[in-house]
Amino acid sequence: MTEDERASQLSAMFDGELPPAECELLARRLSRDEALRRQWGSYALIGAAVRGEPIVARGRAGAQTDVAARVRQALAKSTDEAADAAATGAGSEADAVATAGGRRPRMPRWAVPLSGFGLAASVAVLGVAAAALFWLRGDAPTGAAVANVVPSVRPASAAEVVVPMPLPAAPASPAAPVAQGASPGTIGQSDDSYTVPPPAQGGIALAGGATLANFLVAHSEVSMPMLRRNALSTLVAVPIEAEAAVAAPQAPLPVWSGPATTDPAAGSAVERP
Amino acid sequence: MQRLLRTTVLVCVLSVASAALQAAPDDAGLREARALLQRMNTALAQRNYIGTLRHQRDGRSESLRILHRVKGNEVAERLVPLDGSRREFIRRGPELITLLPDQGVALVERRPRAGGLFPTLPQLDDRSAQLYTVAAVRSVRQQGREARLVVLEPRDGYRYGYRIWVDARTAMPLKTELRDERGAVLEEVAFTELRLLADIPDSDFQPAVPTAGLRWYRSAPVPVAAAPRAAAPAWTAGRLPPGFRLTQSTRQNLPGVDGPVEHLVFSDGIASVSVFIGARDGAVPKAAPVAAQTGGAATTFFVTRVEGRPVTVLGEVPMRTARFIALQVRPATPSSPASPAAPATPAAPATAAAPAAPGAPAPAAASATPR
Repeated sequence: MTEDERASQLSAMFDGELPPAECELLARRLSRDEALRRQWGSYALIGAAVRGEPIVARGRAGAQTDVAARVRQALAKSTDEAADAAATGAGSEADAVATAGGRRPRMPRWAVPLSGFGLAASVAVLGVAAAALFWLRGDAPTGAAVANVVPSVRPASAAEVVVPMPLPAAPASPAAPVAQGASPGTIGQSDDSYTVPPPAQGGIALAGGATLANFLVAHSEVSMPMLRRNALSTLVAVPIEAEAAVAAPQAPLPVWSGPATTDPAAGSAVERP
Repeated sequence: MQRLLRTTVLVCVLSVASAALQAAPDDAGLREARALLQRMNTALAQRNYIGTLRHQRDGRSESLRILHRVKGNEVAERLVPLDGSRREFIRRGPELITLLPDQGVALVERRPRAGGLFPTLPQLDDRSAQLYTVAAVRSVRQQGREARLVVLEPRDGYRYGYRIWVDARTAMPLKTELRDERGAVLEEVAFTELRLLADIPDSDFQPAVPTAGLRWYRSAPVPVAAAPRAAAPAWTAGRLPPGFRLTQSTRQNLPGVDGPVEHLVFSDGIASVSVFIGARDGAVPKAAPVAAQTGGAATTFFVTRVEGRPVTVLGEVPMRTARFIALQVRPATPSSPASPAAPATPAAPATAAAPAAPGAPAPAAASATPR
């Protein structure tokens, strides 16, 4: 099978248009194939953004194998449960999602049997999480696509689940390209600041030129010493991929939310204009 | 109507529950936990030490070298990861330097410590004691040393739980665990090696990474930061998660950031949540909120925009707490007439300002907040 065929198969699976047997095969492959998973993630992210579904992720380090394991586990379970699930029509959790969301999201058919394994909605969520990560890292092809979709924010629904998310195993290399989106003109304007060399393209920026690092440092000052160390060690030890997410204030950002249990208060507030 | 009823019932239930929580919680366990944590905070802030911290989350482990010294009126601190990322954090008195060579950036912030050398820090006070259960205080062996284990369990889903192994002799934390509301370990930090010293030479606080060639960003002097805000804070929160209150409001300049940033701190006594409100910029006014947990650490952040201003919420709290606060932040002198300025009692129910959320736990915030 060529890459194009695979991509089209993947796309079909995501759209719920692939026969179940093929879905299962592809899902198995998905659990083994990092590149494919990434591709799937792109579809999932774009799809979710288009549908305005909350994208749920939880950045958890070192969970790469965990993800694969969950997919495998899900598949193992699905083999047993597929018949039952097919007989009853749909997984109850998928229904719950539909209700909470106010309209039934289009779930890949093959994902329905998987709904029982704890990731409430489906493996789709997993894909989304992975995609969000890759997107954050800037090595996914989804950036441009995502920038073109305006996600309509909707209340947190039962689709919000805790998804352990893989992180890159190693910190970015010193020469690694960083997030695009910082505008050179917006940094270091005060008399007391200097820049050597002049700000280049790239860099890390929240809106206004702020960086997560800035905030972590400032925040650490008000934390308990015990927690302060944690915040600071986050700062020095962990590549701050997430900064990439907020580095492009011009682009509408995907809703990347979680790891929350459903929080109606927040949900309603999200809708606030 | 049904929603209203549901909300009302929920509020009643939560009010009763919170009344129960306010029953005198203190016993020997609480008193000892409080004393231990106080000693630990003091030791962490005032002793001189060099140690190796092992930071574990989700099976991934990182080690960091930490150096801490108090000499005269100056606190010096240096944090260096041992994984080769070459990032460093160095504090020399009021100067906080963050070296991010992988980003080609150095950030320098001058921060006069408003609260003196050892500002008042979050602690297990009467208020926080009602938000956490002191589940245990007992003697254990940890890292081959005699320790007292303090177990704090959250009473609701708006905060994490803690297990802290405090060295019986030095009061240094041998190990700490942060646990989510279901009790799963989110993060573990342990001193795998620790030396308490009389002094540490200056040379040990020099960065190991070459700093030439980095882009240096320095924060502008902040005339207003040192003085506590005389007037009411410019920003506040309509409602807050149970037990949280506004504990600090400053305006500060951050290195590399345009314009002053409002920094609000909300705390439940143990956990702190920082809210940074940036200057109005040209960005899309209605960008969707972004939420993430940084690298699997317990630090959660949530980014959104309020009234065209970028709002970033950071804290060692569950996402729901960060999100709750983020979405309740608003100008205290509002452009919309609905929001009452109530900074002194941020937990007060801002009925006019806060849109009623069906089934939301939020209305109970006021009643669940002790005093």
